[in-house]
Amino acid sequence: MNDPKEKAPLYQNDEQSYGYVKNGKNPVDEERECWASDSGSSSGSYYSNASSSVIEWESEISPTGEVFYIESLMESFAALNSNKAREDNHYASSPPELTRRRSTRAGKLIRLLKRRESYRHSVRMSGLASELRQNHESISKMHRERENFIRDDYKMGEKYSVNIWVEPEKRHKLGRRATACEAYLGIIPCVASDKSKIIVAGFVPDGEALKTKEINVGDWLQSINSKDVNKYTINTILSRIVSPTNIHCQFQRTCLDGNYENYPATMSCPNQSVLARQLTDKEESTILMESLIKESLGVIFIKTKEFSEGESDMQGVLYSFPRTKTKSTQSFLSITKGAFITLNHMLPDIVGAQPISTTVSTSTGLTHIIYFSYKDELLLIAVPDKCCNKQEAMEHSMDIVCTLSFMNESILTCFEKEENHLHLDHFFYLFFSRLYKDKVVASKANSENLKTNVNIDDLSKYDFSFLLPIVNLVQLPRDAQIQIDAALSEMEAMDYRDWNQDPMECQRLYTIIGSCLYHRRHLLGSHLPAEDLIQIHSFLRRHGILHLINSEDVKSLVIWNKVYPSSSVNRKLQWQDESAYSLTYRWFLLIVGYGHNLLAVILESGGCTAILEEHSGPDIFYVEEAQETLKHIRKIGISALAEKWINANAKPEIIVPQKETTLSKLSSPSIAENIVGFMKTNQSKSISSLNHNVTKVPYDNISMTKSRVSEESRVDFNAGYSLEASRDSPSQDSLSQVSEMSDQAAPILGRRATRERSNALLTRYSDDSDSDLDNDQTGISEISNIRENLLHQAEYIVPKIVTTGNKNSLVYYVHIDLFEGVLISSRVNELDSEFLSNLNGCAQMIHKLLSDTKRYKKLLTHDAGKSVINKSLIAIKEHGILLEWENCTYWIVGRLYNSPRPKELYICYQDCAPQNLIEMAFRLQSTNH
Amino acid sequence: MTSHVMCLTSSGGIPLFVRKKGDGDLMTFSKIASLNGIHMFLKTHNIELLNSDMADTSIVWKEFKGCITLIAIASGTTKRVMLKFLDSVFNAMILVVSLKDIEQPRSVEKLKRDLRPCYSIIDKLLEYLDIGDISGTKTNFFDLTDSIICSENHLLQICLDTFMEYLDSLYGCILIHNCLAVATESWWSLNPKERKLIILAITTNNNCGTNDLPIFLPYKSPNLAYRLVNVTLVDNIQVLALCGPNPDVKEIERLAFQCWRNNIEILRTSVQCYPRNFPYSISLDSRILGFLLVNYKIKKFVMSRNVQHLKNQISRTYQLDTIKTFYHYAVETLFYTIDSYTKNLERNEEKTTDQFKSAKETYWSFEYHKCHALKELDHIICVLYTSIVPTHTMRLITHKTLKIILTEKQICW
Repeated sequence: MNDPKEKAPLYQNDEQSYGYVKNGKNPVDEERECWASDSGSSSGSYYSNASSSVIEWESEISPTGEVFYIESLMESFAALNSNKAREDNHYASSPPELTRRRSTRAGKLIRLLKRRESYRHSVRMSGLASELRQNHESISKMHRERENFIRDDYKMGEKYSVNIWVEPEKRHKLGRRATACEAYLGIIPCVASDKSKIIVAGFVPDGEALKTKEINVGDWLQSINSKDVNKYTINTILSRIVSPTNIHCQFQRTCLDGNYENYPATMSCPNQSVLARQLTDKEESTILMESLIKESLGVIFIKTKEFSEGESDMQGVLYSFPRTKTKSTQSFLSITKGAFITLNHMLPDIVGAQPISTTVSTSTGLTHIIYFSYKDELLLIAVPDKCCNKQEAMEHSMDIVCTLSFMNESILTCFEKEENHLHLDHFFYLFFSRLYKDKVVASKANSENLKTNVNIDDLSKYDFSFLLPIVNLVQLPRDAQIQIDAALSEMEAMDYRDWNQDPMECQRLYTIIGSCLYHRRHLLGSHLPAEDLIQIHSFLRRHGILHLINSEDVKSLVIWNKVYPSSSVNRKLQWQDESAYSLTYRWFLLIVGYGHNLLAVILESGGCTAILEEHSGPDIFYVEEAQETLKHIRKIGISALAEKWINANAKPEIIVPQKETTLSKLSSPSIAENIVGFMKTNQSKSISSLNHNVTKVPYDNISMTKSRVSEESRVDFNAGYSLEASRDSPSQDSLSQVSEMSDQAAPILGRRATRERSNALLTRYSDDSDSDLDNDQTGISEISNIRENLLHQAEYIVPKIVTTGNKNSLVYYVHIDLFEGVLISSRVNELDSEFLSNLNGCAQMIHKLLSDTKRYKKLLTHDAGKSVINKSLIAIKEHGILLEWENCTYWIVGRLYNSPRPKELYICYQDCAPQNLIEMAFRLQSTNH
Repeated sequence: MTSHVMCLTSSGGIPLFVRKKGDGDLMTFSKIASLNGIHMFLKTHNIELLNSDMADTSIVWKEFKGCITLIAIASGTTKRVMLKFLDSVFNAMILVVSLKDIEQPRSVEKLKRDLRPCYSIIDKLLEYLDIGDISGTKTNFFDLTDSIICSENHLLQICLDTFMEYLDSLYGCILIHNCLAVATESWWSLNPKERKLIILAITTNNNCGTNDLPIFLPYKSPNLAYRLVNVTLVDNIQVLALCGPNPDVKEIERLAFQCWRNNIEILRTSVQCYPRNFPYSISLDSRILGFLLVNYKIKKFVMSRNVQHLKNQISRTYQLDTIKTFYHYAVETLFYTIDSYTKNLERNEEKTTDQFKSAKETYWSFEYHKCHALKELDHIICVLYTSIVPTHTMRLITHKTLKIILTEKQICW
C-alpha cells in the first residue's frame, strides 16, 4: 500500500489549498477523481485527498481552538444550474472521500493515526498534553510559513509608480460611506493579512485609478508622494490633500500571475464564494463597520453601575458597535445611551416593569431601541425602522441574544472579553449589513452575485415565521426518517470499538449530546432537546450559515465552537445546587456541511470523557465522523429525496393565487403536475421548478415522464402501472420492503448496516490485502438499495389536500409546535410578493395577538391580583382576516390550541368553503402517515 | 391598572398638571421631571423620543406646538389610541384657555390656574383610555361621536332645524343620554375630536337645566371663544348649540320651550330607545349579543346591545369592552387607511395601515364569544356573538344585519 504521508507531504497540500492549482483544475477532472476515489480503485489517491481536506480546515483553527471554515464549490457560480443537476445525478461526486476510513481495518487506522500524531489529537491519555502542544506548534508554524510565503511573494513583485489626479472637492460624490481611498483615488482597498498593508481590491467605476490602466487588482499600495502608507496612515495622508493635484503613488505588483480575481480568497482562505467570504472575513467587517457610524443603529453594552454622566463619555461601556478609531465621531447609541440607561433604571420604579423597547424619531427616520437588562448590565440594540418594524426588530434582537448566550457563558463575559470584540464586530456587521443589504452591500463590487441568489433574508419579509425561534421542519416519509435517525444515532453512539484495537486503553474525548440534520434551510431530523435545537438554529441563522447552505453549494464546511447549550447548562446548574456533582463540563458545537446539507452536533466534555486542555481544537476523528455521517445520509439519497419533497407541493398541496386568477385552471391537483415538477427537479434542481403554466399534461406525456424517471433511478416499473394504482401503492411498497429487510436480519439500517457488512467481510480477509475494493462495492450496493427504496417513494408524491370543499383552496400554511420547537410551512416562492407581504403582515399581527394571549394566561395563573392586562384579550383563540386581492378573497386565519401541546396554526385559504382550523391542523400533521 | 397623563412646559419643564385614573399613586415631581428630562436630553441631539414599551404598559411622549409636552402612561391599549388621547388632552386645554394663552402665557402660574376647569374633561378622557377595567358603563372613542338611533330621529331633526333657525346658529345637536341623536348639517363639518370635546364639556358640567359656557374650538377657532349653550328639554334629553354673543340665556330658554312644547311626547318616546340605542321595532338575529356600527367617513358610531341577553352589569360591561378592544386591536389596524392625523406621528403604523387596505372582514373567536367585523363602503360593523355560532353563519348574519340597518327606512343617522 502506498504511504499517504510520503505521497502527500503536509505543505504541498497546504499550498494546494491556496487555490491556484485548484482553480485551474478542470471540473471534469475533479469529478472523475471523485468518482475514482469513490469506487475505491486507488487507495493512494484517497488518502492524499483525505489528508488534504483535514489540513485545509485545520489551518483555520484559532488560538482558542475554534474553527470557522467554509469552502465553496467554485464552479457553482459559473453554471449554477448545470452544476446542481450534475450534483443530483452524481450524488457521490463528493469531496475528499472519507467513507473508506471507516471500512478499513481498525489496525491500519490506528497505525495511520500514530503516524499522523503531529497534528492529530490522540485519544490516549498518556502524552496528550505534549501532543497537543506539538499540534499547536505545527499549526502556528504553518501559519508563519504561509505568511512568509505571501510576503516573499510581494517582494518578488515589480515596483512601479503611477500619477493619479486627485480632486478633493469631488470626494463626496461617492457618498459619505466611501472610504478616503475610494473617494480620492478610486481604489477600493483591502487590507493584507499582516493587517496594515493596503492592497487594491477593486476600482471605483470612472475613478481616476481605473483610468491609468496600470494598476492591477491585488497590487500593494506602498506609498503616496513618497510617504509610506498603511491601513492606519492612509486616511490622514489623503485628507491632507486640499486642492486638486497630481499625486505620486508607488505600487508593487504581486507575482501571482493571472489569478487576480481570487486574490482576497487566496490571501487567507480556500475557494470561497462572495457570500462565504463575507461570512468568514472578519477583518473586512471591521473596516466596513466604520462606514455605519453615522447611521442610527448600533449595539452597546454598558455596566450601569459604573456609568456616570459627567466623566469620560465611554465610562462603563464594555462594547459598542459601530465605532471608529478616531474618537471624533461617535455612534448613535454612544451619544444617546444616557437616555436609555435612565429609562431602564427609572421605569421599573414608575410603572413596575422593565422597558422592552423605545422608539425615537431621528433625522433619518424612526429607530427602535431594544433593551436587554441584566443585573448590573444593559444591552441596547438599535434598529432603524426602515429596515424592519418594531416587532421584527425585537425578534431579531432576541435571536441575537439567543445566539450570544449560546456561544458564551453569559452575556457579560461575551462583551467583557476584549478578544471577543473582533468576533462581535463581525457578527454585528453581518447582522446590520444584511438588514441594510441594499444600501451598504450594493456599494461593494461583488454584489451581483448576491442578488442572483435567492436571498434567505428576504424571506423574513415574506415569511413571519422565519424570524421566530422555531425551526422549519420538513417531514420526510417515514422510511427516510428512520434512515436519518439510524445514521444520527449511530454517530451519536460513537461506538468506536470497530475502529480501535484496544478500546480499553482509550478514553473518549467527548460524549455526543445530540445532533440535527439540515437540508437547505429545513430541518430533516433532530436528536436534540427543543431549547438546544432553537439555539443551534439561531446560531446558524445569525452567522448566515443557513442562508449560505440554502443558496449555495458548499464543498466543505467545518465549524467548531465552544457553546453553552441551555438544556445542559441548566442541568449543570441544577446539579451544582444539589451539590451532587461538581464536575466541569464543557460543550462544543460541531457543524459540518456539504452541498446543501448540514449536520450540527453538540459534544460534551466532562464526566466520563478524557480531560481536555484549555483551548483545544476540534478532534479530527469526530469531525470526520460527522462528515462521514453526512456523506452517508447523502448517499442513501436523503438529500435528493428532501429536495424533491420540498419542491413537490404535495404534503399538503397548495394553490398559487395569481394576478388575473383563473382558478379553475389552477386548482386541478394532478399527479401529472407532480411528475413534471419532479422531473424538473431531477434535471435542473432549480427551486422554482414547479411550473404552473404547465398544469395539464396529457397522459402520453405522463408515461413518457415515467419512463424517464425510471431510467434515471434504475427502478423497474410495471408495464401496466396505472395512475390509479400509483395513488396508493408507493407507500405500501416501501413499507413492505422495509419489513422484508427487517425480517431477514436484525433491524440494522443506515450506515451501521454498511459497516456490519464490511466488518463481516473484514474478518474473512487477512489483514493487509487490498480488500478495500470488495468492501466498498458491497457497501455501495447496499447503499444504493436503500437509496432506490427511498427515491422510489418520491416518484409519486401523492398530493394531500387538507381543506374541505370540492377543490383545494389552501394557499399557505404554517403550523408551529412550540413544544418541539419546530414548524412546518408551505413554500412561499411562487406567491406574488405583494400578496405575500400582505399575507405576512396579517400573520405577524395575528401571531402577536396570540402570543400576548398566551402570556396573559400565564400571568393570570401566577398573580391574578396585580394584572395590568386587558381582560378582553385573554380568551382569544382564533383570529381571521379576510383579504381581497385581484378580485378574489382569501382568509388568513391564526389559531391557538393548547391541548395536547401548545400549538399555533396559520392558514391562508381561498374563501370558497368554510374551514375548520382544528380539522386542518389534524390533517396537516398526519400528512405523512 | 393606573393611567397617567402629565403636562409640562417644553421650555422650562414646569409641570402644569398631573392627572391619573386608577388606584395607583400620583406621579411624584421627581419622576415627572426625569421622564421629561429624557425627552429634553434627546431633543438636544435632534432626536424625538416617541414612546417606550414595557410588557403591557406604554409611555408616550408628545410635544405640542413646541410649547407643551404631554406624557401619558397607560396599560392594555394601543399606541394609536394613546396618541389620540394625547391629542384630545391638548385640545381640551385649548378648549378652556385658548391656544394663544397656552403658547404665550402671561405667567405659568396663571396658566396652571386657568387649566383647572379642564381637569374634569381630562379625567373623562382618561376613563375612555381605560379598557378592560370595569368602571365606566359606556364605551367611547376619542374621535368618534357617540350616537343613538331612534325611530323618532326624523321628527327630531325637523324640530332641531327650526330651533337653530330661531337661534341663528349653524351648529346644534340633540343628546339623548349623552348620545347624539340628530345634529345640524354644519355640526358634522366640525372636527370629530372637537365634536367629542364639546359634548364632553357639557356632560361633565352636569345636567342641570341650562348652561352657558365660553369655549374655544381647537380646530375651528382656537383663539376666539364661542358660546356653548345647552338646554335640558326633558330628563336625559338636551339640546346643544354653539352661538355668538346673542341671544342671551333667558331668551334661548324661552325659544327652546316655544319650539319643543308641542313635541314633548316624541321626546319622551325617544328616550325609551336607550340603552339599546337602536329602535326596538327592528328585530335583529337573536344570536347577536351586541354590535358596534361605525361610519368612519363622518366619524360617528352606535353601540347597541341585545338587552335580553344581559344578565348583570358585569357581563354587560365586559361585552362592551370586548367589542371596544376588538375594534382597537383588530379593526382599527386593519381597516383604516391613513388619515392626516396619523401620518406625522405614526409613520410606524402608517406602513401597516397602508398594507391592509384590502382587508374586508376580520373575526376573533374567544372562549365564550365571537366577534366579527365587516367593512362596507363607509361603514364598519362589529358584531358580538355567542360562541356557539359557527364562523360562516356569523358572516351571513353580519352581512344581513348591516343590510337591514342601511336599508331600513325608519333608521336615520
